[in-house]
Amino acid sequence: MNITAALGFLWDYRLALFIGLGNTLYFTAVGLAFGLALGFLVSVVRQVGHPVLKVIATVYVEIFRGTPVLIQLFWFFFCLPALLGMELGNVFSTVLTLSLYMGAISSESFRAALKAIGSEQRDACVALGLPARVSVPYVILPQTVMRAVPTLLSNCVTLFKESALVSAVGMADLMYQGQMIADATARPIEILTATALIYFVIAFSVTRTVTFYERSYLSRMRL
Amino acid sequence: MGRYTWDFSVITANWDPLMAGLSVTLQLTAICAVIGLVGGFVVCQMVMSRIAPLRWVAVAFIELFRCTPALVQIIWIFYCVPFFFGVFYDPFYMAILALGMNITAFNAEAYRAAIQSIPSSHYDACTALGMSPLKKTIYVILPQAVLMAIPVLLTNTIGLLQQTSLVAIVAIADLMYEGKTLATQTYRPIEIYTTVAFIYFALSVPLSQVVGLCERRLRSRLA
Amino acid sequence: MSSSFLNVQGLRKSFGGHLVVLDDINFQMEAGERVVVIGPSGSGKSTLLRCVMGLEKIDHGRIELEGVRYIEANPKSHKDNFVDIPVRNKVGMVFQHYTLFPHLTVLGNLILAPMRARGESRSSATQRAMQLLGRLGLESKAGAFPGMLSGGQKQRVAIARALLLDPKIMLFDEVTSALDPELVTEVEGLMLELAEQKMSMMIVTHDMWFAKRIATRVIFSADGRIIEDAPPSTMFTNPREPRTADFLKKVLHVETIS
Repeated sequence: MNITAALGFLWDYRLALFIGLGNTLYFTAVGLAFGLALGFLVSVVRQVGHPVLKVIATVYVEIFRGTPVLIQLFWFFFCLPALLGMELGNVFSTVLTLSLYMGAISSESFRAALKAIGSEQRDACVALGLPARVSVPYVILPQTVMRAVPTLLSNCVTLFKESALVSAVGMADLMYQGQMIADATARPIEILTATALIYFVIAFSVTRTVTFYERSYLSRMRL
Repeated sequence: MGRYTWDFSVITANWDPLMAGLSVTLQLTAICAVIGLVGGFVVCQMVMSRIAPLRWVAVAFIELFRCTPALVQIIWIFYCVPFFFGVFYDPFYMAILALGMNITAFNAEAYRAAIQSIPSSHYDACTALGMSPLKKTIYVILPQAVLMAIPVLLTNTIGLLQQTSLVAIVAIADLMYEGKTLATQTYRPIEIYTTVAFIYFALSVPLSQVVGLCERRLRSRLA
Repeated sequence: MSSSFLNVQGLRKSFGGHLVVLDDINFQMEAGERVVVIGPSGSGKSTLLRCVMGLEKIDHGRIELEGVRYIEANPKSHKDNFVDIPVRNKVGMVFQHYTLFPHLTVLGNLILAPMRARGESRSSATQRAMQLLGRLGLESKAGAFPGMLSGGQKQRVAIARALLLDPKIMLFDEVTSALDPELVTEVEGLMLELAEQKMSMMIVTHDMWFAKRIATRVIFSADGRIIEDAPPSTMFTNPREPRTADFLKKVLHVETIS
């Protein structure tokens, strides 16, 4: 195999790959936005919510962590619309699944971070006469977020990687485009390797950022 | 909502293919779990080795498999291994290769983190007791590392169980694949996908309970 | 209503209703007194301080500062006591494990409460904080994060953080127990300075020599009760109660200290 030829071949399909990457990033970003908000909410509910809400939140988290994302996608694509008796739209089903999945895995990260703030920090807030309107935004929240950031970022990488599954329900993401081109041209090696590399570069840079953040900020503060 | 009439007779009528699929899923999981437990430890030793090229290979292997989607790995191996080596193995073995390498990479990280969490005072204690490096590894480091790594190794195994569903995309007749086939054949996707999801869930939950138990025991034992 | 500066009346505290940690504690102190509480582990010393700070829900009793009741058991509520927060805020406390906010600098730790809870301007709070840090020789550490400080520095910052709120009384809960021995003196020195300035203090410590040096009064507590309450001269040389003598003998390995 000739590298120049391979690169030239890939260059011909750059637009298709680019569109696929755009969709992958779009699905991931929307899933992240809704998922993180949901995850934080669920972690708070599991910490301080009404007992009934706590049970609901726990069941939700366990179901989405305890089943393959692929079956979740299939369920929201084929079962939910039938149950509701209405069309949901493929993009909506995709984004809904990814958001719910992200909500479940990130809620665990938030929960661990909330737990890690010891009761001693809360005692200090009382001893300094800090009311909740001060202690929550200035003491509890910043520490929760700073502690949660490394695991949340790896949750993001997980979601980014899991988003490749949407190709199985026909969404035109990077994986889907790669497979389509591979099938159409019968040259899977170049195109699948390129696809893998694109995923790798993005996921790897985020992972490195996490390590850097942990080393520079968290260790300095001994959080 | 509510208009849909559930009919689970489709499950009982198709019990055999579902169970056959489940058996494939469990075989894949079990074989890859063993590969991952052993392979992960070997790769982890390579990462911590004093021979630099060995280290580089191991780190590249880990990062490559951790930073790309499992689906991409499976598809890549399915398309590209026959091309490169001119051989075509049974898809089941290809799936074992892909999933086995994937979990090996994740487990290697789990072992490494566990070994690094052993305080340096233990190494000093071994030296003070006049233990040889080999004895130190076998009697002090290894048991602790395995013990500390157990929760993450188990969590990775739960992840593996869920990742095996990806092989359905390359037409290996696992639980997911049988579900998909039945759903299209019988036009009852709701019952079938819900049942399949429930089976995965029922397999994951006890495992995650064991993880929680292990973490609590470890915390009290090593406190 | 009593005329005492700090007045603890009929204080009872249990965990889960059966494990009684403090049992009918009655205790008064005057302004400027320095009361050191000693006793075996689990005797409720720290819990007493935590109750005075309002960190624990009490089963029974009331606590007054300068004649004003600020904590009282509320038998109807399982969760909370009656707490007069403005009065409670006149009490300052320092803990064994520093409890500095790790995400804020030293200066940030000091000015958070004055600014956000008391409405002081940033410039005024910063000025007072820098002055205080200067007095403690910690001026150069104002921009540092707590994780970069030694244990002794952390504990002095924690004391400064409490002092900046102008407390009427300071509670010290085993503040030197987590410190390396060579760092203990810098913290104890600061506490002795505060003593010279007639700060009212309640101190829980295991360091009997320090107790003897700083206390105007020593309380020996065991099994949730105050067994003996005496000036340090009597307590350490000629304790009245056999239990006190027994305890002191164990911790000091000698009959008395002089």
